[in-house]
Amino acid sequence: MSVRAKVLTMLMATSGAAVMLASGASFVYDSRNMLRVMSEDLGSFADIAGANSVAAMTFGDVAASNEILAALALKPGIVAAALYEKNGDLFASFRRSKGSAEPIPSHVPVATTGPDRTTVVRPIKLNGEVAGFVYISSDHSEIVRRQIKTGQLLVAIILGTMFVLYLLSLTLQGIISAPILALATTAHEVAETKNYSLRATDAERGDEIGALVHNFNGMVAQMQDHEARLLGHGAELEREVTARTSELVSAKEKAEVANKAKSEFLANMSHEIRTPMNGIIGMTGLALQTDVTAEQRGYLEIVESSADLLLTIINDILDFSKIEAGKLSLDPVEFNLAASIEDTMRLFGSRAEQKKIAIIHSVAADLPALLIGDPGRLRQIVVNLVGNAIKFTERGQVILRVARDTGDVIHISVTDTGIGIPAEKHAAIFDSFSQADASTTRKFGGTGLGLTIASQLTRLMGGRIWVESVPGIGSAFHVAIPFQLVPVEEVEILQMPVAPQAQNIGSLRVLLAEDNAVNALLASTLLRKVGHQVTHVVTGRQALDALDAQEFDLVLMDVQMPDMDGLEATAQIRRSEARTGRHIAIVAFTAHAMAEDRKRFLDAGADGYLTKPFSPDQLHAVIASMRSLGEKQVLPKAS
Amino acid sequence: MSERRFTTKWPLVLATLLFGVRADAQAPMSEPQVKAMFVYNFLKFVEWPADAAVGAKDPFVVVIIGEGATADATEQFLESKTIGERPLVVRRGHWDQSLAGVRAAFVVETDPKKLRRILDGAAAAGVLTIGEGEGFATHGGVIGLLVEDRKVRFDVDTSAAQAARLRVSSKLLALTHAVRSSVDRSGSQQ
Repeated sequence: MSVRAKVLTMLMATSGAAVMLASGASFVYDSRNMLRVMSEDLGSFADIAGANSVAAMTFGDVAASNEILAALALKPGIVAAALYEKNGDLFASFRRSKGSAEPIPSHVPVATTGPDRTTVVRPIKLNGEVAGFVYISSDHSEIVRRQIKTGQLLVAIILGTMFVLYLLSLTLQGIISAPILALATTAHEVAETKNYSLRATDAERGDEIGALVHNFNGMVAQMQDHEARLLGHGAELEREVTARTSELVSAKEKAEVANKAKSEFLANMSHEIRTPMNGIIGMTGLALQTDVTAEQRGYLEIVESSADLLLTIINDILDFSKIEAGKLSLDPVEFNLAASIEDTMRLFGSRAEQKKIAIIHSVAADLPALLIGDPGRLRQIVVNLVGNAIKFTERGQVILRVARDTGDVIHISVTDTGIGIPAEKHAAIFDSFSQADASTTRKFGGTGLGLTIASQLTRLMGGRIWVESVPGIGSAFHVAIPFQLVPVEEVEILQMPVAPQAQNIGSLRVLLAEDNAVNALLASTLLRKVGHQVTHVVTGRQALDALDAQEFDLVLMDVQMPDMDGLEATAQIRRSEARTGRHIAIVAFTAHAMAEDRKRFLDAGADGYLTKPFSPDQLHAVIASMRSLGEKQVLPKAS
Repeated sequence: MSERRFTTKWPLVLATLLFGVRADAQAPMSEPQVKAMFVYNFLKFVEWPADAAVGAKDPFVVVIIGEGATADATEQFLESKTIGERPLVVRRGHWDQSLAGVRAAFVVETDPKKLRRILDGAAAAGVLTIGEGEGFATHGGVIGLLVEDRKVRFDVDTSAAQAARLRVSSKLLALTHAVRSSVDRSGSQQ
């Protein structure tokens, strides 16, 4: 309800109530007055009738008396009348309607005023003496009729008054509501437009509304003042923010540059560390195959396992930094899961034997033969989980189970009987550099990155990793990863043996382009040991010259070489082959274990690639696959 | 001649009054008693001239002229009555006696000459004359009592009343059937 309506209602209600009360009072007063007037009228009529009938009474003329009484019928409302003698006895009577039961007292009564009858009794006097009494009874029909008329008139007056009041109120309510409405409009406008220069009018009224308007204007003025100050403040703040932002931007840029430098540093470290590691591992392997004493063999074996461990740690750190940088990507190929698991588990045989625990793996029979995924990264997950389990298990067993969940989800679980993990650590166990507690690190060693890498890789594959564990009883790590299945018809072809035995290949003429002397020595030693003939060059250009000079079956091409690098040399070889129609197998040889690098090599024309440091088996496998290239025209993948 | 005068020149007011006002529990009044009561009541409806030779506090004198049952009943009835505060005095009178100081006279006289004398004297003295029979009012009396259907009634000759300077109340006249005014009052004296 608006103020206008409220004021209007108030005005109407008060004046309406006043009119009603006045009318009601008037009605009541009028009604009582009518009774009094009627009583007086009846008295007059009685006096007249009495005077007229005094002679008739005196002479006992009943007929004349009746006539005189009958004249009272002229007065509406009179229902009965009677004359009484001086001693009070009834002398003559009159009833308006013949045969009505209107009661007429037999002896002179006293005047009464009842709810529906008013009676009067007057003495009849003759020469100052009472000659008799006259009695008149009247009903109230006349009063009721007049009351109805008065009521109708009052209702008409009330309606008319209310109408006039309404018209007046319409005009008068404006005195109160108009300034309030104007103030409300102004307030609304101020709120909507935030224009604090607006002012409400009518502040000079001199009443409370005027004071309200005045105060409102004062408030708005204050707000205007505040706003102006705020604006000044805001501009200052904005300048400050801009300054800070540019500082932050430059800081961020610096940080990004630093981060990039770090990444580059790590990539270089990868290469720089792997290369000598390649030499250490390779040479140790070669030394172990020579005729050494048992003592020397013991030392060399420690060197070999230490180098392996070091390589693992370095790989973990590199993988982790790549994952952190978001640079790790998957390399999906078709692979046999069961065979891959078998291969992986073989690695743990010696370690389990050392710790005197059993390592059991069970692969479900219903696993699909071939899946599409990244077998290298899957292997990394399994190695991390199983390695972790072995590390924390002193006695008992470690069980690896591989099963197929609903759909194409492969569920791998690793259960151990180790020290277990408290429930509150379950969530944090997959975080970076986190082991169950700091003392664990001291006791069991390790970078603490294994589970983090496993977790990150699982997530990368769209899978889920979780742990169930009871401290003192053991732990169970679960990985559920969705894989794409290879259609059955293709499986038949691809299930052929991919890597023939190395000794069946026969002697090959191998051109080794490698600038690093250690790596070159290692590779050429390994190749020669299985009967290949090796020609060693140290630049890409020398490799091209060698190829021009003589025939080769295979080129092992290092990517990073002075003068002309491996990629350039490979591309030139392929260009010259386009003229001759020949195709020599080229294996790229690199310390860059990155997927995008591999793509670059293959784009340049390499048939396969080998990441340093490599094991003798890996070297022989890739050579064998290149050998089969010429015969089957199938491009196998090697890693 | 006088007969003609009585019937043509005298206005006649004939009123019929019901006799036996009510069924009284006690013994009903006799006709003379009713007539006596009427005589008394007539006194209440008549005004006398102010210059009459009677004081306001003087006794109200009624003279009864003549003999008869009604005369006796009237004398008896009026005894010890009052008119307002004035005591009633009833006297027996004679036809040739002066009516000075008298207010009303009940007349029983059969001789026309004597009656003429009494009525003329009464008119001159402002005396209300009341008599019996149909002829009384027609012969110059003011009020004549008569009986019809066993009921007492009365005639009022307003001309006679005027001649005596009496004012008869209209209320009394209302109890008569008709009022006729004489054309020429003085003609009756010729």
